[in-house]
Amino acid sequence: MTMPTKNIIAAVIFAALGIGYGLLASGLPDRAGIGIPGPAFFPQLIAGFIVFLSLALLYKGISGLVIREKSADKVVFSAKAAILLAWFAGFIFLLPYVGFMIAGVPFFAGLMLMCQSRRWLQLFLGATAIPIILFIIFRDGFHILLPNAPWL
Amino acid sequence: MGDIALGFHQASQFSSLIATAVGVLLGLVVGMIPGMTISTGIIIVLPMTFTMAPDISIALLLGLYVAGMTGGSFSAILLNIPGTPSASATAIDGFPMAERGERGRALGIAIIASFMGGLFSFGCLYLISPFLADLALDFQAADLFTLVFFGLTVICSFAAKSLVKGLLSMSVGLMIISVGQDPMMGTARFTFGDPNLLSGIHFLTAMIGLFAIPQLVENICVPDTPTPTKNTKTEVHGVLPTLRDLKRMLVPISIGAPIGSFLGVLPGAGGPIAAFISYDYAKKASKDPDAFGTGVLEGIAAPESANNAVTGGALIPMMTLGIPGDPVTAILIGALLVHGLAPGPLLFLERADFAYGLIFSFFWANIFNLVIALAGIGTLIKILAAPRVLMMPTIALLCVIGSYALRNSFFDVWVMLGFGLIGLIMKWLNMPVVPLLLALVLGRPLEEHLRIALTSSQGDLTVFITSPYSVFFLGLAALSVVWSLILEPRREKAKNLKLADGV
Repeated sequence: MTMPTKNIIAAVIFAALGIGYGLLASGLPDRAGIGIPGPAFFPQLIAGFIVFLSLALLYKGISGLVIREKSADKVVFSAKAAILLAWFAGFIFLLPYVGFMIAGVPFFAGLMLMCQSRRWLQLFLGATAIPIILFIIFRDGFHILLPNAPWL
Repeated sequence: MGDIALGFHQASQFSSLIATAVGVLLGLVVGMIPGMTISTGIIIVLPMTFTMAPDISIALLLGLYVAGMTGGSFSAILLNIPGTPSASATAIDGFPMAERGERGRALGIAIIASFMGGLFSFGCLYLISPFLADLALDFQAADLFTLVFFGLTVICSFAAKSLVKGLLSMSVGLMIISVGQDPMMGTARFTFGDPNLLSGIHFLTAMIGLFAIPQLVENICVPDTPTPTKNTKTEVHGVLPTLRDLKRMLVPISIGAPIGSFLGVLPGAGGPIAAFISYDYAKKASKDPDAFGTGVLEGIAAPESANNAVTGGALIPMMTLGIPGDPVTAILIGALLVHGLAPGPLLFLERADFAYGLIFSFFWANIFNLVIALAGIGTLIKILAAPRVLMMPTIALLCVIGSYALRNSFFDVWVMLGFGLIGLIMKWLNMPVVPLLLALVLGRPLEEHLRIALTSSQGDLTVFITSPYSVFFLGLAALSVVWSLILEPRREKAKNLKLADGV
């Protein structure tokens, strides 16, 4: 995708965000006294600024399309990235129920597999040992209690 | 005992020195690994510092910050892959020198130049900070607002290739900080009845997500991320420079160190800009400029002294004004806030011992950086060939720990992941993340000072042009915006020409 197209997409997203934010802010009190700005003052200022900047970006995007501006596209999203994020979400979802150590094992193993680890012994040892070691280091070394399974 | 002596004593205690040394060791490792930035390194170490004493935790983080800059040059020299963006200029001459078989010499020059740059910036930090903090005590709310406003605009001008995108990114950051209780009246804003949102979004949680998650995705999912191989040559000899080399280093260091210190003070300018400007000036000052790029000593010494000098420079506005110059100092502000210490002019007034302790920890960090890098370089660079399959998942776990441990909240872990997704979307849209990040730090003081100023003037906007400080900061902000507007079309033209040429 070219840069101008991305700019247009960004402009539309941010304009919508700014308008939505501004509408939400309008429900807040805008004055705290005569001449004294209230809680809505700053958000409304920002909302207006976002909409203005989005229009500027939209203009930039459209003029870029006209002059056929080129762009070096960055590979950011891929199926693997989506799986990684879903894997992350699954781990966070499991955390309160099974604790850091237990949820950490499949999470770690999955990430190792995504990193092309094909040494099964390394995968098994790494995935089991590192979450447990981190749990113990933080509990005993830094006095930070990470979530643990309710039955442990 | 005076505050300076107390600060020195605090920074020179055994526990602080050990923390500094550990930080330096970690920094060298983090810096040299391509794909790992110093910010990510600090983020993953951060949860470990939550329960430490503030002076010890800051000593550790400063060690990491200083050494991370030096570590970046190791992979730049050995692999032609800069470990950190600040080391990009070092690779231009460092790699050809290493290819000639002078790996040790190139690394030694980089280490000594880094030390000299760091030491110079320590001098600036020590001399300028108390003076600037004293001056900042005179600032009224309107001055403070214009100062923060200037800080944000200059970040957008420097850190972003496009001013509009930089300002948009900043505005999103300001939008995010408005979630939670209003700082003046305590009214709940944008909380949708969720008690988790009442105290707002912790900016460290956001930083972990914005920085570490996109980097993890890039390292794990993007196939062309540069990585060292098993064939990487990691044996080095002759690291200590000769007396002749040391003499030749004087000029480039005396160019790089002041440039780095000065650009470090400017929010958003950072190491890469300082390194390239110093490289350029060193080339212009050289008797043989054509030799640059073929592996000359000056081409390593200038950028390396500059990027390490940036660290001390960046600490000046952070400590005295509470304005972070780069993402690392933003995280350092977060680390201090976790310990109940707010950087700014009052730090020198109320906790001068701590402020001087921080300055002297920075001094020790530079000393340890020199000693550990010179003594351990042979062992350290073997890490370049270490497997990443264990490193990336460990970083992922540390991100989760960091965001959870801040407030023992699962909600924060979800927020971290959410910000990771925002970071990825912004990367895809070519939006800079740094302005958003710094807006998360500076947004609250910006709103507070703005509203206090307007409340005291009963809504009269001329309050922002009646003080000389305010006028000065507004003038600088306008200048940075105009500068960026002039520069941007030139940059885009040059970029399009490059793309058209297929470069």
